[in-house]
Amino acid sequence: MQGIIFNALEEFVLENADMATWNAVIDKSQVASKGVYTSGVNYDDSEIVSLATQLCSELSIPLEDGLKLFGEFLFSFLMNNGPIELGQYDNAQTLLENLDSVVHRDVKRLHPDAYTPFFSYEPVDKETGKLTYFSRRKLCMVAEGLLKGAAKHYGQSVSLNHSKCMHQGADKCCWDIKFEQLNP
Amino acid sequence: MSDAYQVAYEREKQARLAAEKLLDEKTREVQSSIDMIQHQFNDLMRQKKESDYLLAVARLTQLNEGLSKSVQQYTQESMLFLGAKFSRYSFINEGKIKISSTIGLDEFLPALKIQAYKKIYGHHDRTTVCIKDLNQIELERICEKNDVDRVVLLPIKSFGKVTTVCEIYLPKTIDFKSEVLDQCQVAGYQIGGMLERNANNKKLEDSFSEITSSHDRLKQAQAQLVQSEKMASLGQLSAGVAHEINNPIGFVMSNFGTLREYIDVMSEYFTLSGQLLAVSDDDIAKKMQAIDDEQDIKFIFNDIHNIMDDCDDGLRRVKEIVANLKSFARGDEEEAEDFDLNTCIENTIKVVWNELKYKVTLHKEFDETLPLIHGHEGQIGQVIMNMLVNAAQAMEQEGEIYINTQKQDAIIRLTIRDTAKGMPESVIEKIFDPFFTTKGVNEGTGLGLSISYGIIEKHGGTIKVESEEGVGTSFIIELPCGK
Repeated sequence: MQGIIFNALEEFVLENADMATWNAVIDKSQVASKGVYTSGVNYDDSEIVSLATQLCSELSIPLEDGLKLFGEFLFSFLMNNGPIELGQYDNAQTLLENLDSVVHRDVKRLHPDAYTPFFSYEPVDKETGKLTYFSRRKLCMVAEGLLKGAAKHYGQSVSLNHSKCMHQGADKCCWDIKFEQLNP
Repeated sequence: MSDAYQVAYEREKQARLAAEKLLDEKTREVQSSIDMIQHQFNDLMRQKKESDYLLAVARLTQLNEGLSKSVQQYTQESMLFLGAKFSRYSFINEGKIKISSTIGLDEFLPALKIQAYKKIYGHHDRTTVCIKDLNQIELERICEKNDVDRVVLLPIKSFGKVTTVCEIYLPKTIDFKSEVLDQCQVAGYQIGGMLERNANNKKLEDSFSEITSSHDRLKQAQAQLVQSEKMASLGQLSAGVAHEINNPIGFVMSNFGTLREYIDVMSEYFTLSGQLLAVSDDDIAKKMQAIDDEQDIKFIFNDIHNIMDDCDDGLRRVKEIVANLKSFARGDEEEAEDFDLNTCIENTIKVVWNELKYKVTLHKEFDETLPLIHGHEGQIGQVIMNMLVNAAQAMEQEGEIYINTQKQDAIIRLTIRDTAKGMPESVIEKIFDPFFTTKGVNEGTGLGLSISYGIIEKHGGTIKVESEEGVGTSFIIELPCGK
């Protein structure tokens, strides 16, 4: 997992709690990096899982909700601080359509050893479509949060039907998605 | 609270150090990538320069603008390629410099001592020589002035022999790998290849023209052979026919004389019988008188004389043809002698003058230094007579005949040219064939020219005809000089 995601998580904790909480989460989760995260460096996937689990326990919220919230936060964080230019898309659908072929390809170019999840969006019509997700990290809740964050960014509402889930034994996660443009 | 930030500060410090380390690594990576790209770029530029140079030389070999220009441009291209100050190219023949030309230098450049070339005459290709090692003071002075310290000698070889040497004078500051000089040598091979190709093409052209002329000679020889074969067959045939016809013609002509005498006697007898019948009253006499009245015995006797004359004429013609055939078959009966062709022509003209004088203007151009011919004067005269009579007969109105004799090496050439109507190709092809004639029935036997051909051939000579319709005909007879 890229260091920038850990930076986002730290920022998320500081925004929703405080530095002492973050210190405690690091301390208690006993991660190998001891919480020292640099944006361009790759860290073990297990660290994000440990940190997220510990954080939800500290804040007394279910892990799924925590991950969804973090996902939503992560989208705007990456929009503002990420190394990839994302401002060229007008709506969440176009972004999803180009996610693998353009955005993740750019990530690979900057960080050849980065592991990127697989996204495939097939539009049904202008507003609806089917999204397929696969990652060895199985962070589909973060993906849902990211979708919400994206819709929010483009002034859209989004309704998600998580029809297949890797946590339920499916080989991939699938959503039926409907985006609606909110009045400007 | 401040403790919490103290911990966070320590983490941030660690993170910054990690970031700086990462930055250093990335910077090093970028730098080595830039170095690699620069290296590849330099390599590409060098390759481009090489391929430009080789392409320019390849173009030269294709343009094929001749030895001198090709070598000059090769030297110039090599000079530019190596970054040289000036150069010189020299054409070599049998180990000696024949022509030299300098490029890029205003003053006279003394020739290199031939020893400098020695290496490249052997198995070596290009070689580099230090100017100082040459021990040539004036050369050294000019090179020093131009900051030159060495010269590359590039030989151009054709069929394994050095034909040209290019001297490229290099400044001290220039340094390159030996592969660069290899490229120059490869280019030199290309020029050498071009020279070899040119030489081979020239050889090929020569061979082709030799083959063409051999082919022409062969065709001519074949035509002559065919004609000789025809003549030989005709000779045998003639001998047979002449022999077979001669005997019956002999006794027919002999009997003809007797027959003529008998008819004279009978004519006289019938004249007297007529007179007797006129005064007789006898029945038989009356019947005889009736026959005379009906058939006109006097007329019959007159007609018999005419028929006899015609037959006599016909027999004489047959005899003449047989005689001609015999002369055709015979040939070697007379003893060959040396004779003068000009005199032979004069004598022949005298014989046929009656047939020519009203129609023909004769122009004679004799080579008075002609040597004698060994052969049969009568037969050669027969040939000339044939030509002259044919020429006159081919003239529809008045015309000219040009007779020319000349000696050329061991050959005597006789040309008889007329301004008559000429002949088409189809006639020329058959003109020497036995019994071929363009004259009407009873006007010619078609033997004249084939006999002439046989006579000239027996004399070891040739006879040719050139003709153009509406312009005239030339017969060219070539005979060997007598010993």
